[in-house]
Amino acid sequence: MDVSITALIGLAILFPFVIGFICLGLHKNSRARKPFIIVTAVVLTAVSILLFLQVFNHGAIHYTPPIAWDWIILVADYVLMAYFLYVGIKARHFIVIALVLLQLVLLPLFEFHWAGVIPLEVHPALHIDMLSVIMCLIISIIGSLICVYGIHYMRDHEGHLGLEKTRQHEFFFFMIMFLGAMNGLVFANNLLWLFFFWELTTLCCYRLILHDRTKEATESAIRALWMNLIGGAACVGAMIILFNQTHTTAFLSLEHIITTPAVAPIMFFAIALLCLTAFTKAAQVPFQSWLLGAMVAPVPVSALLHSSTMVKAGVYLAVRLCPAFQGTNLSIAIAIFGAFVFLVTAVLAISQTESKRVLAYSTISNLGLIICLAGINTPLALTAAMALILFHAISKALLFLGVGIVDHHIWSKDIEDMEGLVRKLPLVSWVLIAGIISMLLMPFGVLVSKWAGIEAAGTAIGGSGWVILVMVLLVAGSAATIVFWSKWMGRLLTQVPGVGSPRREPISFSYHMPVLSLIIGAVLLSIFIAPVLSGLIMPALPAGYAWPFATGGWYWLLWGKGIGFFAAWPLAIVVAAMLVIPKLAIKMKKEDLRAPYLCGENVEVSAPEFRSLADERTELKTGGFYLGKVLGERNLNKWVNPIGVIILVALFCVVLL
Amino acid sequence: MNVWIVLAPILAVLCAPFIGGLLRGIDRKLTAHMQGRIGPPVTQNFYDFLKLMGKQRLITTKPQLIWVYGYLISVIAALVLLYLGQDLLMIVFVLGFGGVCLALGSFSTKSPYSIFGGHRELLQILAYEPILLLAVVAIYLRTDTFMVKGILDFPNPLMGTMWLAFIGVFCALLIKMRKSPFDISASEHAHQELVRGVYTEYSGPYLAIIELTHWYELALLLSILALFWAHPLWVGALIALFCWFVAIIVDNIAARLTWSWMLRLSLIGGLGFVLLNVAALYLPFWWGPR
Repeated sequence: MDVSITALIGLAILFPFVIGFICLGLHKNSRARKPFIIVTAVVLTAVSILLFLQVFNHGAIHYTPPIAWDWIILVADYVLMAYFLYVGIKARHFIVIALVLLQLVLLPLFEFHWAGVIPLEVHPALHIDMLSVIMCLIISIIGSLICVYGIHYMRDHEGHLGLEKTRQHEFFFFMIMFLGAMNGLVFANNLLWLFFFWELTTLCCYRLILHDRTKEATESAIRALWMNLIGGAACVGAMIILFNQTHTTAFLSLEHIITTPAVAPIMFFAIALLCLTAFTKAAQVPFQSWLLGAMVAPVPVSALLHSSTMVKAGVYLAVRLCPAFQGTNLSIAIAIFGAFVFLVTAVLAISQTESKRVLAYSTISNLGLIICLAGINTPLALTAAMALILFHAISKALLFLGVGIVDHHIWSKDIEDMEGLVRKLPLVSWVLIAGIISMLLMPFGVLVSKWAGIEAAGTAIGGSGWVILVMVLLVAGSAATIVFWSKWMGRLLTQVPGVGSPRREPISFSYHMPVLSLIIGAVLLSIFIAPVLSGLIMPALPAGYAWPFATGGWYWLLWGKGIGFFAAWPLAIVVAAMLVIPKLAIKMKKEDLRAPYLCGENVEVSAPEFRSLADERTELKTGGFYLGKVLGERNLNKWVNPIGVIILVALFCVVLL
Repeated sequence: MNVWIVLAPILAVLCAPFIGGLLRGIDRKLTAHMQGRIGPPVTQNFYDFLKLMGKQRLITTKPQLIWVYGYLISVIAALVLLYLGQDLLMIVFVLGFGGVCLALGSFSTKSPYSIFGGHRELLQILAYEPILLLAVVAIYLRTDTFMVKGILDFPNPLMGTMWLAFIGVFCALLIKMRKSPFDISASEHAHQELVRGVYTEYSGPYLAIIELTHWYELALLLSILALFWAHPLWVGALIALFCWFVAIIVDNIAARLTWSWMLRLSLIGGLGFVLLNVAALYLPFWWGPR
């Protein structure tokens, strides 16, 4: 193994841990922390790009570190569990205690008794292919931008809370360490290593939700903990079953699981358990409540853990396992489950007034779509799934960071309070609008992925009639998505006719640099979607999955037969024209502005007032539709959660039958 | 043959407004006759358009303009894609973008009627978008292609096996045309509680652009209907015109629905028809010669 590659892997995983501890050490000096955070950002970005080049040019990297690391992970596993047990006992939360005890019984039994070899080695321990690299790029680049954003955000955040003692050192410790843990998670081939990093992200998630120490934060943190521990327990169960297949560590290698066709139903049961692990992390119904609760955490946490990276670990695992269940009933059950989640959470998002909850529901919805595509399990579906992982990470991080900036100007995250924000805070409102457009409209990657996804589902119906059900759920969910995004954008735009151009808010480097980088990234990657797909996404398809389309003709419209994949840039020109024409070609003067139609009762042009009873000046109020009575959580959750549980149970039944 | 690939979209963009405008004129004449009036000449809509274009530009807020042009440009883009023989699913997405632009334009001013209309427009999208998307997939199941060109090359008329989906698509188009009983976002006949809904805050040249967009939209929707009988295409065109005539009659005899009824009707009725068709495609006797 080339020394430089070893160094890259070491940097990607261990460097954030080192910097994390330095940040923890600098607990009194937030100034001194700043350069360390920026250096981490630069180093991680460079490392991830170098890893990409390495894998792109020379293929997947296999690497097994010295056996000492197996020992370290073995010990660290139990340290983590002991901590979780302590948390459970301290909070007297019996579900947490029960789940940790379950793991604490099963894992030692497995490692020390059944297996008998300590530590269990798997060769290679790390396997870095294109899929890992996609995840690593997302984690390292988007994650770094979010950490840089956090510098300013946390200062404002603590200033607003009026804390006596700063907790920022802890915040950055977990945020930056998390980047290393995530990189480890996506590189791991040894399931025991994957499990360790998985639990480590659970720890970061728990501590970061807890960060504000309010009652709500404590409750949400513990809920996130126990729901994620279910996933951890399922993972331990899966490892035991997989080990028992051959009584060797062969099946503890992810590569081996997906390249060896499974025969015994019990193998599929293990794979289904791993999928359950994935679903808990990705907050799929009925586990969605932990992600919604997690929205009490500061914005950078939501952006990093709860939208662009940690929850993606769940869908990463599902996509990774795809070849193992290709062509089985399990695959179809997963597709139906994902499509169901996609629809119901998109519908639930319509009724939400709090912007972060809308973002959370939309995240769950998109993760559901990715899981659905993993279940459809054709080359086109997997391409769409991986493209969606990438584009969703960019757009959602952008939206969370935008909401954070808005929150620090108006101290509210309520969509109704954002009415007419394009006039009050033009820069950040257009950032939000750009983010929403990139999630919703045509030349952007998310829509292109969604489109490819629907076509993938359509082409898969021939294979199984059940996909029709998936299809119906997808088209309905897709329409619901349009409604909640447009509605929010509408509230931002609703302004009183005014004269003079609005004053732009002050610019701050650590707020606006990450946000603008993300916008530029979303636009460029969408325009150059053809090279992105052929250079990054399609090489990540597992062995045995043919490239779903030729990329040669991609730079122009295609006249293919069957599936027409589409170069997005002609539509990008259309959108650019729509934005530029009014700006350049039309000069409006003050006297061209008119008051909105109020049956002639307006007080004056730029006052939102009208004359009501006895000519009294009355303020004009407008609001958004939320349809809470019909589509609200109270009305829908009593159906949504039981159906989610039923589909999950059915998923396990399908495996065993 | 290659000339037509370039010529067809250009001709479509040039001719669609005339066809759409003329049809709107005939629509007004027919409606007037049904109501016992004489009605304006069939070319009246073109005069209206010219009159509006000549008026002073008045707006309430500047972002309105972005969305007006967005509406026009995206409908034209969808039309061009259709006549280029491109992917039908993408065309539906681009058309959906047009609807979103119209709603966003109406949200851009703090005006109660316009915002009301905008929200209802979103509900209309919620009603028709799933039907259109599922119908496209149904067409794929029959023809093995998502491309309009492939559908045109398909030897047999789709109508024979796809008439159930056709009914569903027709429902969707009624909603998309915003005619009674589905004129809930913009009240075709200036009902009071809405004023003119999404159009309330537009006047002069911008109202003209919206009118122009409607002509394009009508031409586009009728073209999509015509796809159901592509050999010979003139039969498809006649079917589309017949549907348009039925839409006018429905417009004149039906009262406006509430949004919840519209959603129920479209998601159970319209989507149901398409779904039935998808299921029927698996019945052995349903298959015509392929």
